[in-house]
Amino acid sequence: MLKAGWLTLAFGLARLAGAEAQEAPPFRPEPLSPFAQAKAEALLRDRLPCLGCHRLDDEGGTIGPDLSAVGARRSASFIYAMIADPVRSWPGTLMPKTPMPAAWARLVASYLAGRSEAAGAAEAAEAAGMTGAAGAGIPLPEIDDPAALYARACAACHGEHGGGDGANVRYLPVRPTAHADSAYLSTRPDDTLFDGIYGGGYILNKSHRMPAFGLTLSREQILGLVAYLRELCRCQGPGWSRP
Amino acid sequence: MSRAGRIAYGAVGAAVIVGGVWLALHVTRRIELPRPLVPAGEVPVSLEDFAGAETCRDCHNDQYASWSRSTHGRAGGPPRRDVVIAPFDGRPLRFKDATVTPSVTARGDYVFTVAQPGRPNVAYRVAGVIGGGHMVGGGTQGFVTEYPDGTVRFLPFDFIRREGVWFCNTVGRTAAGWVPITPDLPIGACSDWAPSRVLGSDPRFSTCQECHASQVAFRLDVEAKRYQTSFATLQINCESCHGPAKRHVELALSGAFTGSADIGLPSLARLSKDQSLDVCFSCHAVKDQLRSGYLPGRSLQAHYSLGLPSLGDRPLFPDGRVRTFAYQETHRFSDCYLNGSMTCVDCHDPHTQGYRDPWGTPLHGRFDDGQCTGCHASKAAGIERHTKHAVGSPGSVCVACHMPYLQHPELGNRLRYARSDHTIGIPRPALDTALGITGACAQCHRDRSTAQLEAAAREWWGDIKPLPPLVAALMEPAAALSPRERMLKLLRPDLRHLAAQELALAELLERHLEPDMVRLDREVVGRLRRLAESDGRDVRALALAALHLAQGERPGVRRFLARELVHAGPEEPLLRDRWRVALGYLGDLYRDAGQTRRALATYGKALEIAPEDPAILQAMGLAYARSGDHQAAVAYYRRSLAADAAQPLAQINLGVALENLGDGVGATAAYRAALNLNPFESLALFNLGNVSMRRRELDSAIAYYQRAIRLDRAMAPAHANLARAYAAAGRLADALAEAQWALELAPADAAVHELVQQLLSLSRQPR
Repeated sequence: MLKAGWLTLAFGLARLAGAEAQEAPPFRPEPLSPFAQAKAEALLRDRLPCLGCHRLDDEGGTIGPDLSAVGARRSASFIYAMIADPVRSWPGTLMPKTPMPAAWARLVASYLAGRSEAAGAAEAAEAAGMTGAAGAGIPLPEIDDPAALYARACAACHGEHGGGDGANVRYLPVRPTAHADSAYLSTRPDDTLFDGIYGGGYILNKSHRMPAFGLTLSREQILGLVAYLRELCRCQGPGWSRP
Repeated sequence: MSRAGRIAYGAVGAAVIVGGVWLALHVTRRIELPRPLVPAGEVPVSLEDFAGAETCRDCHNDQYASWSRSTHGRAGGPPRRDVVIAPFDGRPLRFKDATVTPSVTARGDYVFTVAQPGRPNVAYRVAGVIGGGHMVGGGTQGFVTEYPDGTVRFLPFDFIRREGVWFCNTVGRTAAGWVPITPDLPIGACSDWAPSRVLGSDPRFSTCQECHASQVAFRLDVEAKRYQTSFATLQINCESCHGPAKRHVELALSGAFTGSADIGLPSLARLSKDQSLDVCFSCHAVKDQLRSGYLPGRSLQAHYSLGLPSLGDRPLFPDGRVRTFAYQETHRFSDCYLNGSMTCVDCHDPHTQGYRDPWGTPLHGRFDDGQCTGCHASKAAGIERHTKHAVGSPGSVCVACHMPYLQHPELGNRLRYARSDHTIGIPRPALDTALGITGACAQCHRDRSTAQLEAAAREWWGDIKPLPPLVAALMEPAAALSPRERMLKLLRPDLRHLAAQELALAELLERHLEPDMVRLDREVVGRLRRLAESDGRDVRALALAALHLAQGERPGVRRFLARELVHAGPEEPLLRDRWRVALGYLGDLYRDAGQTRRALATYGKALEIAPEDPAILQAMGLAYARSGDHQAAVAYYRRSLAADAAQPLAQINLGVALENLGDGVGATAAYRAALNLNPFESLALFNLGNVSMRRRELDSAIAYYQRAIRLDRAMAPAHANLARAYAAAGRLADALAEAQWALELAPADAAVHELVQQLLSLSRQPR
């Protein structure tokens, strides 16, 4: 057992050591008009899930790096690559790939690349204890154990035991679903839980800050998460929804 | 007296005093509802603010090219070979009593020539073409013509591409729906014969609102003494959705985009779900007009209500499917709207009008599953497990079962006009049959009974997902419940389904409430109060109107109503408009039913919400007139005209009331005042004819009726009275021809039937 444990740790370290950003293809940021900048900011704040994990000026979570001055730390190509394909660009990242029109990805990347002077926002965030972690670890697509996957990808918002009380909650405008809430989860069919994990909160008219994991996790992983949610709530979906 | 007794008496005395004070404060002094404080906010948009699609092309060539190939880009235009799909080849359309020949003149004019025995031929020059027959579920093309009064009117001769036939719409005349033009069809069966439906919105006419052209403006210009109709194009152009772009162009040309986020146009990508839907619902929805003058860029909600058609018209079934005729507003009943974020543009690319998934990825077409699996990813893998149909078969396609093409019931079944069901429901064969709908299962499996289809559905999918609770309640037969039970079933402020709540409140208002009810269950009032605080403004207004109607004299309710108005803030004018229209509609219902007291009470409440509203004042006058109190009617018509002098119809109603009071001179003056506002007002001429008839001035009467008919050939009463005038003048043949014309236009009018019979009888008598 001990040997196996060491092997696992060694494997994990190897992953961490390899969790360097792959060289991103060059991306040339587009010059943005004030209108385009406002649109990018509106997408970030009101439509896309980014600020669920990242901070932008005075708003957003602390799971991922602060984006307020990300242009000073990262190249435009890296920023674009992280939006377009985060796991490939940074294999150990926690960040899932968000489905969006290609034009939005270019717009948001161009906007963030231009965020290089955010009036000390990063320092302010650090002072407030909101530094955020890059989330280096086992790539999400390789975590087969639903409980481990939940702990890594979901618990920061939904809580370790599904109480809707993760550490990131205080930075979110809408309280995350409490997966241990049997009464509520009993009204949600398994397929709806699957769709929510796959497509994110926006498609369910819930918080757009809940990201979509469908382009990052396999169907089996999502099905495993759905089963795990049922363990947390100790409940089933409505009778009509069950096979 | 014992101490206990003294205390008891003392308590009673105190109660009497407190009660007296309460009564003095709350009963004897009627609480006035606040007058409108916030002026009706109006986004300042005028026709001069629009740039035109060709200007947009200068910078947005890709979008322009996509749009010009789309159905919006090909929605209509001038009559040209590349626009017209109908055969204008000189082959006549034969009616029972008319021949209509569509042809192209040597000058290139597209013309319908109407020939009827005994009447002069009439040529209608086509001024515009509406539609191109593009729609998969049944595409049509219609035509408009210009009238001397400045209106642009729809002609009753339409063409449907799939069947390749000319047809006409009989809804409102014979209720046969859309029918091919055949030799057994009287031309008068066509509801637009003679042409009376105009482009643009006006209560004087039946209309298609502003939806068959771009930037439609229509109004009576009392200075120019004619109607003014204008539109940018019969296509649905860029600014129909984006709003007026002239300032955007000016800013672009001035280089201002580099210095400011203001580009002179709103960003449609940043709209909320309901704001985004409103862009499309400006046309793709049945809606009631609140205020005239809608133009893109103005607030749709300030001009129209989507919820008020649930009163009276009731175009939808309780589950949102089309009961009579409707558009894609049925989406408001879909789970994708109620429990999702779906807007029109999640599936429809607004420029190409092609299909895409919610993430903007283009799809192959209208039957591509990506429209659904983009969100319902759980169903995407092993799809046959969900569909129970073989992959690749027609039944395997998501929209085949969830968005079947359903024939619009009001149009009948002779011509196909089916539209994809945007309630995106679940197949329920038994419910479909109960509602008279040929649903998804029955459309394919025509050899199966409803019971077989229902059994198969239950075998495959087990228990079917229940209908939303309020929809289920609306579906239940009301007769089995007491009025209180039914009302409590309908009033569910705890449920989040605004469209169903609108239907429920409509039923409540029309069937369960009446003005100033002596008793109304406390729980009903409580639930109405909660609904009156809904964030759906139609629900809110309907609930306030319900409270006002039934309990509006109760001090507590009046305080509540007043408080709601005071605290409505910027919503106040939108709320008042809906509240007024709802009460006005109910007043009309009572008036038409001969319940004058209730009508007056209801209009009176509407006037509390919209003081001196000219339409409500005129309706009050009509109610008094109907009750025989012409003196009061005159007073209200005059108040209406004081509020808005530019109302020819109010002048005409005033004239009718004055005539009933024996004031022929006053009546004539009122009719002339109407003609002074609008010389084309055929009703004024008709009534002047009636004045002449009463005076036995037959030549004058005949002249007035003839002028009225020249302006409005569809006015059956003018034909009938002209027939009577001819008969009185001894011109029996002319009289019979006119009476038969009246019968053609009003086949169900018993008086006209009798007139024709009398004239036939007279004409057979030897002279």
